[in-house]
Amino acid sequence: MTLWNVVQNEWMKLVRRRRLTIVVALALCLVGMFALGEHHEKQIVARVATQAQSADWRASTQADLQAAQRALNQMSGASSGSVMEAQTRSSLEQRIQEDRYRLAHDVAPLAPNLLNGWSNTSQFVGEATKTFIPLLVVILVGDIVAGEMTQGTIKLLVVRPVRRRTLLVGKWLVSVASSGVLAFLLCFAFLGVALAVDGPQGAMQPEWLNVSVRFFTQPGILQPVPVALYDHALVWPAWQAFLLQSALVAGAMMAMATIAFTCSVLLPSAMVATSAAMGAVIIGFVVSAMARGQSWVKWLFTTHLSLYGDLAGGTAFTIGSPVSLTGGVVVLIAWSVVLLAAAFVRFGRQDILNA
Amino acid sequence: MNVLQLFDVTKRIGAREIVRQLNMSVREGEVYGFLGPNGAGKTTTIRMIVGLIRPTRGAIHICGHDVVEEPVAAKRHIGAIVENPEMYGYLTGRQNLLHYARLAGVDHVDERIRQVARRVGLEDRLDDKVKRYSLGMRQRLGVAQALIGDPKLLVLDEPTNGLDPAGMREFRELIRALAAEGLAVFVSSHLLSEVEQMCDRVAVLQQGSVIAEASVAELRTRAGSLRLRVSRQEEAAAWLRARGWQVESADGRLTVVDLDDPAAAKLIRELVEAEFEVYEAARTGGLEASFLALTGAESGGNAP
Ligand SMILES: Nc1ncnc2c1ncn2[C@@H]1O[C@H](COP(=O)(O)OP(=O)(O)O)[C@@H](O)[C@H]1O
Ligand SMILES: [Mg+2]
Repeated sequence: MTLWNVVQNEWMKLVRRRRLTIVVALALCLVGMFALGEHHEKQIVARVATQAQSADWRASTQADLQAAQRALNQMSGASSGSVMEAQTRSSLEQRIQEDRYRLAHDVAPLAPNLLNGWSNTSQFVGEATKTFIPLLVVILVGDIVAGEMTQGTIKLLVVRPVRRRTLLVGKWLVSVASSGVLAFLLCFAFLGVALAVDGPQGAMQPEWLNVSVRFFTQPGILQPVPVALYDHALVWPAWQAFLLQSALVAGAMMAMATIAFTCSVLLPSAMVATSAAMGAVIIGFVVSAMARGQSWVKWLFTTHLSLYGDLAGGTAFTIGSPVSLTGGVVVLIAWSVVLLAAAFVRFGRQDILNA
Repeated sequence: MNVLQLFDVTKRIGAREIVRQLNMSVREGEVYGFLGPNGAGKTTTIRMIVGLIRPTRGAIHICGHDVVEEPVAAKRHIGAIVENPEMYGYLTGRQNLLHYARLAGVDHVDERIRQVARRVGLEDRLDDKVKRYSLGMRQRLGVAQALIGDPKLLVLDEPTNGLDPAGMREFRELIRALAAEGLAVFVSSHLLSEVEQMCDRVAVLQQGSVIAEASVAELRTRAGSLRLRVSRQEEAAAWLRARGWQVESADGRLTVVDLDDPAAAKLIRELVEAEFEVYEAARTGGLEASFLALTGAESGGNAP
């Protein structure tokens, strides 16, 4: 009851603050940029490729499937364990899975003069969820406690006959919910403009999930070479994969909101708290790229902000070591729980002296 | 009945004791002044009363509930303004009050908001954003939010700071009216005159300790002092001291302390009869003089 009142209050404040306007404006800018990019790409594709889809795609797909299977059969038997061999095998497996999917679900390849708005959105969201969307989340909720400390409004809040713990739970719930909603809406805004610009085709095109990545070390080559393995891969229609991706982005942004929320409890001012959370996102992003191959990178929360990348293989390529969706989710939850506990301990007994 | 009680309350921050062994109690219907210069520890004390900080030692009870042990039960009875009443500028007055009403567990929210707004005279501007309020209006909204949960104790930290004289008077009248309805009011101030006009009792805080506590009525009837400009000042001072008066001589004036009106009249007559010329004579009134006497007497031992 009290908690529900706190949640209503926090929601009212969140939607009426100027920060929400800033977040919406920045989000619209990004959506606009994405639309422009798609428009540009569409014009290029229309200029270079004019040929239409081949009439009998089933026959050619069937032929390709047989050729790939034959090649794979020839390879089995002699396994030298070299990178080259693994790469070839892997790409054959991918081809077979794709051809089977197309034949089973009657999904023709897209004509070369058509863009796939679904997969373009998926790629763009995959990048945006590493830095841009987290920054929006930080702007939205990164001062939810510190802001009230800076403004002094925390005094008239803590004076009420409500436990401090309840106040904090309410604030956290609103931070997390609003960030999840923001992320979800943003994903669909990107999809909306992509489909409007590129056209609606591509919803059934195949996307690969549960791709594992193996790293081959070879004499003479310094860095281990990543090879995507498709033995346990799932092939999903793009629209379904996109729904999953949006849900994963929303989930990751909830973890991000929790981390920003903790900064806003532990750090003394709105300015410091917001900057620290933004700094963590950016430094984490840079570090994951620079410390490629270091095993500790997979313990950073920033590494897993693109959970869909953990599932589709992209994250492993970026950080140079294997990851899994489960691992990514565990890392995000672990960070959230530990930081949240620190926030509650701190806020529960803190002397509010300077507000 | 005591609405607010402090038992040996001490607050230490770092190595410093900001306030020391405070014992006070405020009854219902009483306006209790907490008087002290800037930096004396008034705000620190008020922060402890409303649960923003914890006492290092001692206990604070509100309507019998310990603020630290049972914060929710204790705070149910408090309405407060701590330093400036910072509100959400991006919300309207009504939204601000709605926000606090929800947290105070008010039942008929709209009705209650209308009541308190009428009480402080803010009903016309309730739907304006608070960032467009004048200081006086903010102060009224501050009182409105303090009253929203129908408290038994109102805690106000220098509430008239920044108000013009008319606003101050209006505010005092509001506080007196609330006390007349049975509310206990704990109000801090660094202005003696304000405390004199608003309060029933006063505690004087200096460097973290309460050095005096008395009812305002009692202080008012206590003797005051007399300031004189006379001929042959030093001679006159010696003459008066010889006759048992407490006299200070400085800046071309004599100050005789601790005498009531008849005594002052008698002293002037004697001076004139002893052929000193009296050019000027001024009584400094009850409260201020006794305040100075109190604080002077009790802190005199370790004054620089
Ligand atoms: N956060 C703090 N840390 C250390 N000392 C403080 C802090 N806040 C206030 N003080 C000290 O406590 C004393 C009392 O301050 P305060 O309660 O604000 O006095 P008042 O309200 O009577 O002006 C001051 O000397 C001030 O320097
Ligand atoms: Mg103060």
